[in-house]
Amino acid sequence: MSLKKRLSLTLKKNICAIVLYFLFGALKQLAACDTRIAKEISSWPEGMVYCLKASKNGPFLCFEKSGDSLNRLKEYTPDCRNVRITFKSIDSAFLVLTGQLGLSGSYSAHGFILEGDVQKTMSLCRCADLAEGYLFPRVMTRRILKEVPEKEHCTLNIYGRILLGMFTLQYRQICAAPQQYLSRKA
Amino acid sequence: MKPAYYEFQNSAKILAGKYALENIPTELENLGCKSPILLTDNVLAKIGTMQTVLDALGAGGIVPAAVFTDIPADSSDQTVNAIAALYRKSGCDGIVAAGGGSVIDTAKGVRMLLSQDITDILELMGCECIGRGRQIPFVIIPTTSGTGSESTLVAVIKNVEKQVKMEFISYYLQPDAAVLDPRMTVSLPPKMTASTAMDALCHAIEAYSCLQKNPLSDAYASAAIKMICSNLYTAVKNGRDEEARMALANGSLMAGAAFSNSMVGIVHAIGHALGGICGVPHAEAMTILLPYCLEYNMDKCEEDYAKLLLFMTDEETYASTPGQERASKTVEMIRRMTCRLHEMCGLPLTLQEVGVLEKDFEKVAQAAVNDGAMIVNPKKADTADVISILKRAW
Repeated sequence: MSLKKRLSLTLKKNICAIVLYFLFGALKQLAACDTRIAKEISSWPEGMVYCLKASKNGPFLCFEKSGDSLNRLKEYTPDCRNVRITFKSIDSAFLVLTGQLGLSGSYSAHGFILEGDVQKTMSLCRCADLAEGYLFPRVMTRRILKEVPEKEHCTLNIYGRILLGMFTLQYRQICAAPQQYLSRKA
Repeated sequence: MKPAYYEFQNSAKILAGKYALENIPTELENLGCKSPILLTDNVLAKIGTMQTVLDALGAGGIVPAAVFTDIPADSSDQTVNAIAALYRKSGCDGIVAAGGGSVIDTAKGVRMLLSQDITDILELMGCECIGRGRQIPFVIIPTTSGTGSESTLVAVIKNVEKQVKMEFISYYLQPDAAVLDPRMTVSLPPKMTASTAMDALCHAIEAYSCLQKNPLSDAYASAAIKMICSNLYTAVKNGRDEEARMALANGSLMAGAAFSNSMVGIVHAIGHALGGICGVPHAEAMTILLPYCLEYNMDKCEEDYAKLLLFMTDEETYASTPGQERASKTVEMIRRMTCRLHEMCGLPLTLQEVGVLEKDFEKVAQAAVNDGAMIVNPKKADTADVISILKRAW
């Protein structure tokens, strides 16, 4: 692999890791203050795990539903009750995570593979669309979302909450409860 | 508009036309299969369709090592497991499936189970997460002209214990060969001919306007629409007209290939929900919902719907319709078509006619927004939007 490609991959991986961290922060904060996201999350079964993986060997975000909130997990153990979205390449993930393409656009472009129940994924997509509505400026969301969602709070307020959550270590990774897993191998 | 990136695959070899069934033995031999399992359902066994297939296989020296006819209307994992066990016990080396959507989906499930060397297909649920696996020769003979399952990469199988409808999307679900023989559909009654053809038309129209559309899926979709619209009334009027039957079978297959690579949208999302909650037959739900959903998508898809008019009618009508009216004329044409079919064979036009109750709208809407087809619909739809469509179609 050429040096140029290697550098580009490293840069994209790092940016994806940072955006995934912020995306979790946004989802966790919005679960508490945006009624639509709170409603979506309340419909998930307790212990439901979602994983967003930026390529096979790339950074990932894995989180589980715990009560009305979300916990960030250290690892993902495949289980037919959970959902994992793995982007086919770091470039596909980069497009989505930097607001150049929406999740529906990435799905249409065969950008990722999905393991698990398609219906459960739809709820995550709606949450991601709402979170993008807060995280990205309107000029971007108008291009990548089918419809720009209305904001229940101002973006600065959400960014403030995300940063506060960061400083109070709300996003540290934890191990999932062992009973969560079935026997299927990772 | 050309997408920035697209993928397309339609890998099945097509055997279409007179005596197509008689060419299956050669295909099986080429695929390395000598003792296939034959899958069909009890109705097809009773009306003699299965015997026609057995005769064609026998004429070419192929005797199935096992025959399984007990396939329910909704494919289930239990049936898939039972067939896989019979396959192994009988020493089969390939699958021949003759039937409608449920037989074909069941056969796809069996092939998945056998080729992936797993015990529970629940593990494979998802989208594009299945590899090729072990080669299991697989031939599909559709007996309706609607689902297009013989060319699609989708299978829906019910998990009875967990009460989950498992959705599988993978290019490796496509068969090695799809066989279109006019003898397989001549016995379809007029109403079923009409509703299944409307299902195929719906596949093609949604494929032509969904987010995943691409130049190749457009080519298949437009050809399918032309073929279905030119032959539908003839096939409904005279089921014995083999030319019209074959045109519908080809149209259905092409529509299947189109939507397999472009996916379907809101019509199917609501249709699946109506099927699951109110038990509305899929093809009838498509017939009823299609014009209302096109109207809903109109502001996002006007350009595509306008182009469809050319495939649905003759060049003169298209040319004489002002550009800005073509899209609404397309919807009008579909309305006229369903009304005529209603007069000809009693095809339902409203949700009320198929027994949908207003009290179920909320549940249907909830299920519809969670359906995977909704993600590729060009326009966002929430539960309120779906309820408004349901009210109009009621």
